[in-house]
Amino acid sequence: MANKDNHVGLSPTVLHVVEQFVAAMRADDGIQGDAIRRLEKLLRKGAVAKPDEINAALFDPPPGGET
Amino acid sequence: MIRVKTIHIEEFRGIRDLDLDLDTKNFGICGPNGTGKSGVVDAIEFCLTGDVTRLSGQGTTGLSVKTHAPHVDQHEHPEKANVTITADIPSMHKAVKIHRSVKNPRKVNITPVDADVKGVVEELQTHPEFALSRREIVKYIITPPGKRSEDVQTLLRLEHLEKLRKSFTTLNNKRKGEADEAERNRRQAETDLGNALKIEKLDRALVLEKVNEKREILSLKSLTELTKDTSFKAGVAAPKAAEDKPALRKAVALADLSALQSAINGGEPAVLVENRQAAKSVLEKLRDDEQALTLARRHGFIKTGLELITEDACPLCDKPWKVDELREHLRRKLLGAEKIEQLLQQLRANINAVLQSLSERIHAVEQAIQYSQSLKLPVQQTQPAAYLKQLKDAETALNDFLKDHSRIEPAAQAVVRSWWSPKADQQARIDELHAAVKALPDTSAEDEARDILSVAQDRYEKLLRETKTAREQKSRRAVAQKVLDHYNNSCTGVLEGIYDQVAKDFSRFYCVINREDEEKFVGKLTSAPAKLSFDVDFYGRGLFPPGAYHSEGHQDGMGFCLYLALMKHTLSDKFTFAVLDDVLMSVDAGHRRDVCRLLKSEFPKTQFILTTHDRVWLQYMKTEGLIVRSQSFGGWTVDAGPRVWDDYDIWTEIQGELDNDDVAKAAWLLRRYLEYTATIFADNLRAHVEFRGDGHYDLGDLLPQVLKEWRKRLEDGEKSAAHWKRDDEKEDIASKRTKAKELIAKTNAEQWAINPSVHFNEWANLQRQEFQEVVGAFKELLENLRCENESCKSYLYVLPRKGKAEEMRCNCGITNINLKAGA
Repeated sequence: MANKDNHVGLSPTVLHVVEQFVAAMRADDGIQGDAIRRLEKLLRKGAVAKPDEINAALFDPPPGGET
Repeated sequence: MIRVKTIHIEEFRGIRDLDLDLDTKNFGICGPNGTGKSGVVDAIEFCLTGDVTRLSGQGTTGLSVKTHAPHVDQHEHPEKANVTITADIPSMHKAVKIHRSVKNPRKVNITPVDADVKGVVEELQTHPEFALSRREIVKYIITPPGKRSEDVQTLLRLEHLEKLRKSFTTLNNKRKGEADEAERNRRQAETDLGNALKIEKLDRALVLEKVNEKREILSLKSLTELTKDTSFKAGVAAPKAAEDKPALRKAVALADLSALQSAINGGEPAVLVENRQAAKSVLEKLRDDEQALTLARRHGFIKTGLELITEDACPLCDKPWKVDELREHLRRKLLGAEKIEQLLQQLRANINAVLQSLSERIHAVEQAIQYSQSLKLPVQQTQPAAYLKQLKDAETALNDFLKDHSRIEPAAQAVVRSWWSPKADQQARIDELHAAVKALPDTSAEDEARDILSVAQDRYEKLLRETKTAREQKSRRAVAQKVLDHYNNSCTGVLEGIYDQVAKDFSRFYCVINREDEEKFVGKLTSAPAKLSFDVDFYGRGLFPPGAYHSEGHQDGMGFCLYLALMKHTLSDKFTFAVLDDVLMSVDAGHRRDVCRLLKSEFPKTQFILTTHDRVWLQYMKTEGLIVRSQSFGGWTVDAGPRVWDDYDIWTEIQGELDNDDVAKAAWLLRRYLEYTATIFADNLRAHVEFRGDGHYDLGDLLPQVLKEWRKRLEDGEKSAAHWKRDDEKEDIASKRTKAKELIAKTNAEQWAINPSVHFNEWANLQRQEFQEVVGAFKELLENLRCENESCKSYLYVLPRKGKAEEMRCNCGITNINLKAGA
């Protein structure tokens, strides 16, 4: 589970969208759980995630597992 | 968010040195224009965000916080301009001191040094909309839908969502591009393997058959299956080191060159011709019809322009136009632009198909040139190289157009003529190369079989790699698409829900402040890509833009209500603090009580700092219990800044004038205040006042009728209580009525028409002591019209507003006098 406290600066609206988005991805068997966790963590960081960061979260797990 | 306790301002804007004590309560700041009220608002904004909208927003070219925020005498000493705010953070039960100097607006000093507290202050910086001025109200109402969408999205922090959507879309496009490229590479690898084995259409069985044919020549065991580990060369003797990798394998080279010859000789495929012709046709249209491309480029611009039209002139150049004609003109352009956009989509598909064929041909020609270089007696390469350049130029031109649609001409040239057949001299060189390779000494059947197996093996392995890559890219592209779709769906779902809820709250708030005339009012927010339409009901006649029929006052009310609804959804429980700079001035007198009630009932946890230049309005906010503390400014000078009265109260000011023996000034103040309150009482009690066409009522027109009505309402209440046999209640009302009669008599107000010597016009002629008694009598009388509950103290009012009076009540409900005496 991503650290839900790590989202200073995100408005309730953005947080709500992130929650719905993550729930929709979880219900989709075509997207891996680890990728969803990494992406959620990235989205809750506060700054707008860049395409390369999203790409890394979805497809390029860091060596040695999730950080 | 915070609740402000104190504000200390030094040498900031028009203020030299000022302390305000808010004690975390709602606070009123009152003063005529130019007395420094807005300086306080600017100081709060500056301290919390480091910015001053008035100096950095639209139309402020040449102004800056650092130079113009300090008092004019200190504009060269920004270090002397400082603001300090102490506040509570309710959610953390912590206190904070925030200090900022104009010398370094970006640096904020926060005490205590605490990460959580710092987080709250940083969050405030991202919500400058806690301060709202009257001029900002309109941006939510009469602004074009595109701009409203931007403003509302900014307020709701939706720009973050939009940026995120762009990130997901960019990633998806990138993934799509990479997946397409991987698939092209896979197809090329398939073609190459097919060429090596002389198979037109690759098929597992056929591959095995062809490979086994060669293996049979080498007396090798046939392969029975084709897997990723299959080796076509299994059992083939390893070549000598010198022949490890021959420069040219005749059989394979012949196969590749034959495939190229065969493709050229077969003529340009019909599908390619179709795609090229279609692309050519659109590109020529774009080239010849400059307006079409301009329309395509200006699609968004025209849409925005259409939304900006509000009057009989072009919103850009002010050229006079009839508003309907201008709208129609732009609509026609817009339709044209949308058509062009559809055309461009088709064009992109046609060009991609052409690019696929180009890529294959380039690969084949590059291979041919490579073979040519490997021959001991090389064939002239100039012509094939020129052909290759022509192909690559065409590829570049088409790719460039896809990136930038203004690069039409080279792209049109790339598709106008077929590049499928090389020029005669180029074709001659390719034929010559083919012949040269063919003329090479034949190798033995075994060597040829060995060569073919070796090349086929390499190409098979490449095909396996490219297939794996293409599969991975396809899978990633599918995931990226799913992620984008889920994101878009989540956004749409959440935003539609929010807009619905905001519209409901907006409608409810607006009904509260306009319940008499627009009780069934509804507002609707409709979201479309990049715009947010806003329509409101007009007296049940349908939904229209707010600026269509509603008065400016009503539009201001709508702006205020929409702001509150948006803030409620943006900040939720964190909406603990708001500064409303002269915002309530636009609310007419009849709706002020309702506005006060709206703020008190709907936002009990929000600390409002309200500025007004109307002292009576300030007093009214106090009597309605909206504000407890206030500060009045007056007599501002550039040297001293605003003159401040502590906790302004009309009775204190009147007493002050009496203490100065200025009866005339005290009389003027009392009259002014009574005129205003009498208007409220007349409205509250539904008094029978003689109508005046000019709407100007003086105290003599109002107060006697008000007091008469007050006594009558109390009498009705007493009768009702007797009717319903509520003895205690009857006794209380009787007592209040007796007191009212006594106080009214003391004021002489009912005698004004009969006895000129007691008329208010004569007040200025009274002695100080005499007028002191008049003041005391009115103060006591006004208390009689209030709820006795100390935390309420609102003036009583009759409900309903029209028809038979049913009750007379206060805001808190503790005083509620039934006026009905039976059915």
